[in-house]
Amino acid sequence: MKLWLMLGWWSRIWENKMDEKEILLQLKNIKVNYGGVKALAGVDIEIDEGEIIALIGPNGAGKSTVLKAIFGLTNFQSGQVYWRGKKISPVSYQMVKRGASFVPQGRRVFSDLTIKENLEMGGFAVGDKIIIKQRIGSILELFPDLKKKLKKKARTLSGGQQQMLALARGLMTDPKVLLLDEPSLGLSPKIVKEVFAKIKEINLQRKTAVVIVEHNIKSLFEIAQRVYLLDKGEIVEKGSPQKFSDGQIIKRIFTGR
Amino acid sequence: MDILPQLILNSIIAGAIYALVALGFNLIYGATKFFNLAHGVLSAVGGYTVFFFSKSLGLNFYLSVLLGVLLAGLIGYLLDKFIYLPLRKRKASNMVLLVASLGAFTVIQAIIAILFSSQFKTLSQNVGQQKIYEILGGVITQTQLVILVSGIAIALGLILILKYTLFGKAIKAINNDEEVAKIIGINTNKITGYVFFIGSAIAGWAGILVGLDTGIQPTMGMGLLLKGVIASIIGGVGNVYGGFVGSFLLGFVENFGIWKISGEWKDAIAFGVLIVFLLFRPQGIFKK
Repeated sequence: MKLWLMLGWWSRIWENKMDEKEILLQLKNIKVNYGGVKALAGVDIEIDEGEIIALIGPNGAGKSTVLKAIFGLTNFQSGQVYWRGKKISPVSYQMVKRGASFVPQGRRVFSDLTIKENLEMGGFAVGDKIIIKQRIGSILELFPDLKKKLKKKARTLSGGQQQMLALARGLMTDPKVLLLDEPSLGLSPKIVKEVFAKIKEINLQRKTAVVIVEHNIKSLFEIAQRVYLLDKGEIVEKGSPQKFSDGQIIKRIFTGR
Repeated sequence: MDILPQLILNSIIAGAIYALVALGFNLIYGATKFFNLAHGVLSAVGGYTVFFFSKSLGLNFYLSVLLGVLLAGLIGYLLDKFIYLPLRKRKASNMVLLVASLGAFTVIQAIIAILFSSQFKTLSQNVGQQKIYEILGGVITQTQLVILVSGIAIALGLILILKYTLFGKAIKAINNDEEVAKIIGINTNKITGYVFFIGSAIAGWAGILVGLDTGIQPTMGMGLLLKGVIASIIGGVGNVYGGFVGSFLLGFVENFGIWKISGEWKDAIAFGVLIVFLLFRPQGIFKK
């Protein structure tokens, strides 16, 4: 009798575990200090498959630090990062192998390499030259402007084209989650619209989750599904873009009034 | 004018020796952006390894050469892993790395002197019986022909690797922006380690050939390093192709420079060329 009860108990636990959806990426209570300054003071963030998540906040709120902590570019003093429910210690090239891709701010392409070489480098972690060639082909369908200039050095591209190249390079490993740090920085409004449209297209076509740190809130809210508002290293508000649509919360945090 | 063909051949051979040093030096500089002074002493490591295994232990000569190249490569790799990489992780400046490499140079040179004494030694198996070839009015020994052919072959090999392989392109990417290279999934420490192995192995090979041509002594590394660095600056530091061309240019300037004057002026001419380039064209002939 006791054995049957135990079996029943274990099978219920197992069913519950099967019902639990494995979150793609989770940060729990992440704390980052830079020489005594609290960059992140215990941040909890969840990113699920196919979502577009916005991280917004004033300068110095810790938004970019969140992305760097996920990618192992900055050490965190406490807290945990989980990938599909498994605790990990992020190291950048290992995060790439897991399925994360980081596009840093400032259109940081390899200026001395051609567009084709930049894309090949984006696929370096893949290793297989044939797969890399195939991926370049499929990614260029999303970025037809780059197709025409494959043999040109990246330094010859305009700012907007360099941002597109950085995005395209970020897709070469076919990531499950794409981390974008201020993709609209230094770009004209027309190009910003194109960049955000491209991000949305990537999300819809490839089901890639996207985490975007941005100051351009209007463009961001047109594509984001969930928003985290950070201030002084803490998450002060979170929810759908509609929660922030009247601007009151954002105004309070950004202006202090 | 009978001397002219020999002068040209001598210039080419000198250029080829400098090229073998400059190739490895530039490869390493291209990935790490610092002057690795220990590069020079690895040529002595190659030479003395061959001496130890072939002359002291009586091992097969070609096997000794292989061991010499591999040991030079391994020591270069270990210098990066245990000295330069920890310093780079602590964000040490290039000056600190330079001084560390000078320290490594001094230590390794001292160990060689202690183990083998400071006496000049030769690696040649049959002194005075080397094959001689006549080319275009001049003469060249078998060793010197190997220096020339291997210098060209290694240069071509490196240029092809850098241009057509993922590994080579990763080296260029690391040189361009190391942080972004890490971000996109390149294990930059691993790639840099391989670069140190390859560059140092080439230096070891250079030392072996110089040992066969003229002989070895513990202090041989500094002279070779300085000429390799001058050639690199002439051609463009960090530019493998530029360093190759700069080496031959240096070889010609040196040998033609002493045509009518004492050979003791050779080094003065080399450093004079260096100063001219630093003053008027510091980026070198082929700007990176």
